Amino acid sequence: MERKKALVIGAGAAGMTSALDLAARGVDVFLVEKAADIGGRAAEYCCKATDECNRCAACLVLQQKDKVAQEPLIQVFRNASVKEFSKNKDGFKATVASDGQDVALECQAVIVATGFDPYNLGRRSEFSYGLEKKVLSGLDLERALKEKGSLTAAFGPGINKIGFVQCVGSRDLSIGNGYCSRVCCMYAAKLAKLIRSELPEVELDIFYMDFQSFGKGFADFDKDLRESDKVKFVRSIPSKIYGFPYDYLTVRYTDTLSGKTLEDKYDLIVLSLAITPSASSSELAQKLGLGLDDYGFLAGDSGEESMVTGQPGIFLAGVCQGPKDIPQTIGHAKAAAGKVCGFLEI
Amino acid sequence: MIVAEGKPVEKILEMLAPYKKVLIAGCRGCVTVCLTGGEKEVGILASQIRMARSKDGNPIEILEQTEERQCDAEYNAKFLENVGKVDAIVSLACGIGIQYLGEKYPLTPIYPGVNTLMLGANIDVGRWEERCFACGDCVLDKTGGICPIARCSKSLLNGPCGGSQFGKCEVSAPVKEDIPCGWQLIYDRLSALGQLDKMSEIIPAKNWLRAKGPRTYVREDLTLDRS
Amino acid sequence: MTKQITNIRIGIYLCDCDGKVSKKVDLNSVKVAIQSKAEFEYIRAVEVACTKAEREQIVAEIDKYSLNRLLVAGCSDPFIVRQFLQLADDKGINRYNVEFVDLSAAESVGAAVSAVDTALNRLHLRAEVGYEELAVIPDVLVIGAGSEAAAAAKAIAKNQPVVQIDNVGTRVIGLDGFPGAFTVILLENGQTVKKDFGAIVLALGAVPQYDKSKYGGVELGADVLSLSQFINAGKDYAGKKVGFALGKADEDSLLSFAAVLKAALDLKEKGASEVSIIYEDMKICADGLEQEYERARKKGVNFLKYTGEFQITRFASGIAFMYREPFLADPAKIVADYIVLAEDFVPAAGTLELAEIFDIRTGPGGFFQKDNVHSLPIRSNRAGIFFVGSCHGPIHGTDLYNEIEAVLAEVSAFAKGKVSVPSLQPKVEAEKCAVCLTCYRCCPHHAIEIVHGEEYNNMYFSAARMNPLACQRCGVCAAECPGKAIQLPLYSDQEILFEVQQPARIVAYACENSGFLASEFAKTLDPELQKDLQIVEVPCSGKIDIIYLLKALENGADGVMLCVCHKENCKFVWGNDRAEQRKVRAQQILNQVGLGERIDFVHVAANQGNQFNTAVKAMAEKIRQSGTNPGKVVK
Repeated sequence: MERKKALVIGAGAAGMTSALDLAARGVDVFLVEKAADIGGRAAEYCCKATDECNRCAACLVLQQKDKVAQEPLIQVFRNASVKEFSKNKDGFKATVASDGQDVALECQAVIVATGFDPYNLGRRSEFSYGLEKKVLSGLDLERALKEKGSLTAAFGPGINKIGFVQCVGSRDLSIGNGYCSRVCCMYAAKLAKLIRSELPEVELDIFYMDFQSFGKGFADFDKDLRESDKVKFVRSIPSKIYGFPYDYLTVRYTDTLSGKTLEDKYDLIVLSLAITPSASSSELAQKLGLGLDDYGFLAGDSGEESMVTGQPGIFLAGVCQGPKDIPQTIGHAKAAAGKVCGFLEI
Repeated sequence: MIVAEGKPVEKILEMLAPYKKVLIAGCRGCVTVCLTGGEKEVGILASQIRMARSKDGNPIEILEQTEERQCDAEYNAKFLENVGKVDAIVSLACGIGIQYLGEKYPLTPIYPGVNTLMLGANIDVGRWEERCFACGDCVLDKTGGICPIARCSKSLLNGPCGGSQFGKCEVSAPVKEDIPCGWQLIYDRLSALGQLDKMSEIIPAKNWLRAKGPRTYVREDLTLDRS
Repeated sequence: MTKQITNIRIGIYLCDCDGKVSKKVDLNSVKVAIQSKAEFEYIRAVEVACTKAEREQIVAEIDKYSLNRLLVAGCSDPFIVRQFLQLADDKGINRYNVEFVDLSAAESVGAAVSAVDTALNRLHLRAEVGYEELAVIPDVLVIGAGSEAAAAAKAIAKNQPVVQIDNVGTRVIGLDGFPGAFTVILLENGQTVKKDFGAIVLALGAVPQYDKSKYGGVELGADVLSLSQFINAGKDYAGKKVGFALGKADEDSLLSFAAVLKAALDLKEKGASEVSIIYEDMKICADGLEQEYERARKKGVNFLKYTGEFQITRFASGIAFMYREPFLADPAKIVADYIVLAEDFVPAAGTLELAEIFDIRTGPGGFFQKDNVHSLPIRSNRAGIFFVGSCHGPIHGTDLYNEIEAVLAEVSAFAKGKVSVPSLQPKVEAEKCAVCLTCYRCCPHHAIEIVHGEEYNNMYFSAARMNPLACQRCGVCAAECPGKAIQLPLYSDQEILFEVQQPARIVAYACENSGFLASEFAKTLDPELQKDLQIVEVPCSGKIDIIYLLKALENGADGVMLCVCHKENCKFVWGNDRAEQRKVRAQQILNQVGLGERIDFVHVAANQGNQFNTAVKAMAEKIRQSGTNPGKVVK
């Protein structure tokens, strides 16, 4: 029997999940990844477990990566992108450029799982991101902790005060980002918890506007964070972060609880950059005939089936459709794979 | 079910000191069920003894074999070949199995690898509780189905005594946890059954001779003359 | 020991990868050496195995020599792996019977031969894995009365038959069977009835509960309403002032936030004179909520942020919230005709009873499901039983629909009435099974039943049996079995103990979900550390039998590590906790005979290569202190 074929664009948490689920149902999968390796952004995250798992779910992504490598029904294209795409009576035809070679593929269904890009601060220099090496993005910190194993190994001794700044590019109407990125409060809190387990004395401040975390046992998590982990919450988004001319970072902010404008010294600042649509998504949307929502995410069915698009046979999985955490992304991608199975009648 | 626990290994090492080649004999009956003497534990004990003896520069060879029930002669026959190869046997069966296997092979010394503890129930994985004393004269009809002999520290037939407090027995258990007062349990059960009047019945003294060995039980109607 | 199938016919292909391998190692010598010592059916050295012509020839050879297992030694490139697995699959040789050896790292003929030989032994020891075609019942039972259950039932009904019960009028009182064939025992009009379903979806929802202790003891009344009272009353508030309080209850979810925003907009529409919402953190992190918040602000809803505490006080002009506002000298005072207080959400009635009947775990707040990342939002610890909506913790809006779709994807696998699965669940050797129930009780997934019949060759004519659809292959049962009656295919005792016959100085038993992946990462960070280290992969640390620890030491390892998932992260609920208990006992066993500290138990995640290396160094230091293992048994 000829196997049904599906194209999955993007090999991050969502794409890998969909690909594995499809393969498990006997579908041949072409998994197209623009980077040199599969895994996506979450494969670069660190583990945030302290004395127990803190439910960041980054490990799930590496487990999937390993499974994809062992799955004969998944053919991975690295350094790859969809060059041409068209529809015919049997399904879809795509030309995928991979490692400099063009490959023509035919398939009956497509899952788009192109993920996100962190908010690009561009020329906005008020947080000195890209100018000061101790001003990091959340992703930078995750990568450093994963690669080096600890904060001290990554940044040396002498880190005494760390600030996390939330909502950098999220919920910011001045740039048209009228949405919450959903995951940042929780990952900042978990990173703070992780750092606390390594450095009992370091000062940890979180600058925020509305603390957005929730979920199973959140109330206890929150209490622990404030009381035993001694994380200080500052209800304010800083107006300026600068290094020069000192050997520390200065954060200027107005504390909305006291009404005072203050300046504080920090050794490390972590910016929670917004989840924004990936740079390629508008071009891809055009190629595939998909719509975008108000913020540039790929638009799914507005109501109950957010993985369904206006194009029969083309489905969305994960954060390309809107911000999600890892378990939600995986759930969404499983649902998308389910939709493909329904569409292919298998 | 018979419940047993592993003997401290230093005792077993002491017993085996003179020997170079032994058989560890497991049993697939009660001691497998109570996780003390099945094939798995045979392997663990064998490995431990081999390592201990190697450390002491006195290596030992160990054969491992587990059979159906050491309390039945027919199954014990299966050990014949291996028994012939060894200087001694360690049995991980209950006290009955150990002796019975020993009787089968009287010329090979046999040693206990377990302490046989009780007739107990498997409450959950890793926990066993005594339920029966094998006293030979069952009174469960009078006590709401809860045995005062096995479950009261004093085996009182007419309890509780003054040491019953808040449902617990004053005697501290060897496992260092509260023992429920057997008579409290009986009271609660009778109360639930609406048979509390039984609490006021005096149970006459038992014939403890039936609880004392050596006991033999013979069914003439079943005995078989094979001559 | 595992029963071996008698007709194992192995084909060996030694691929030169276009001359890459023979630069270092003469393939022909490897071939000759293997031919002289090993058991196999056919061997051939190939220049490039991944060409179309070779592919066709190999297919022909599989037929000609009736090969049923393949060993491919070459570059182990994903491309060739994929090609061979597919080719094997086409020929009915499943992927578990194909073994790959990476020769690119081999420095000598001897090393190459020993690598091939090891893999060959693995193939010989491997149990036969077939595929089972199983009939399944497509019907799905949805349990719950609310809108969540209705939405789930409606979505599933598009694909397959659905029965929805409210668990009040018709109540579940028992459950039998396994995924694909559950028998649910129901109490219906006082009668006990049995109905069969392939899968079960729990959608009991959550219920609001007003907790006055969170509001300084304020009782509900005519002008103080709980949020659910307010919503259910549906009164006309035209011309009235209404104040809502958020942030004191229901911190675990967005439900109240969403409900209050909706109510506020509704009130504005229907002409309420003033709508105020006091809140601590405006939780809007779900699809569409931020937009709703913006809309409410534009419509003139007052949003007032407090920190810490507020009081509810009665005045002549109405009832008011009072709180400290840092920018004002006096306390802020929000006077209203009605105030509405958010409630907590608690599990719906029947949640705990169903958890017991179904043998599924509950977690924080008494809701279904442990707080474990592997559960995703919809999985229980039992295959075939799923959660949708607030019964596993209050959820909101589009998350519900995403969950329904995810469940749909899972249950639709049964829609066709049959499934084909690899027969990878543990196999029980009936002669050794004492029917002791240890496996049954230790199984995290309720995947084991006791079956009876003449064919079970023991004194009970009974044995444990693992259900192929319920079993998730952790191997906890096999590791706990006191009779050694259970073997997990691909990870049998024979196969694992074979790996540690001549162990490295340190043997690390590593869970494939964590420790093993961490070790792969660790290799790239510090290749030097690998010298004295041997990784033995297991599907879950719950599979690490105590005898594995002892045998590695007996065979000469100086130290043994168990590299397991972090606490509360085990994919198989409690595999890592079982492993920890075994570690403790194994170390006691060593201590009893004076062998020193030689076993380390390490929680390590897939992305913790550094931590893995740190643990290896700690182990090395520990055995340096304890000295060479004196317990090594010289054969």
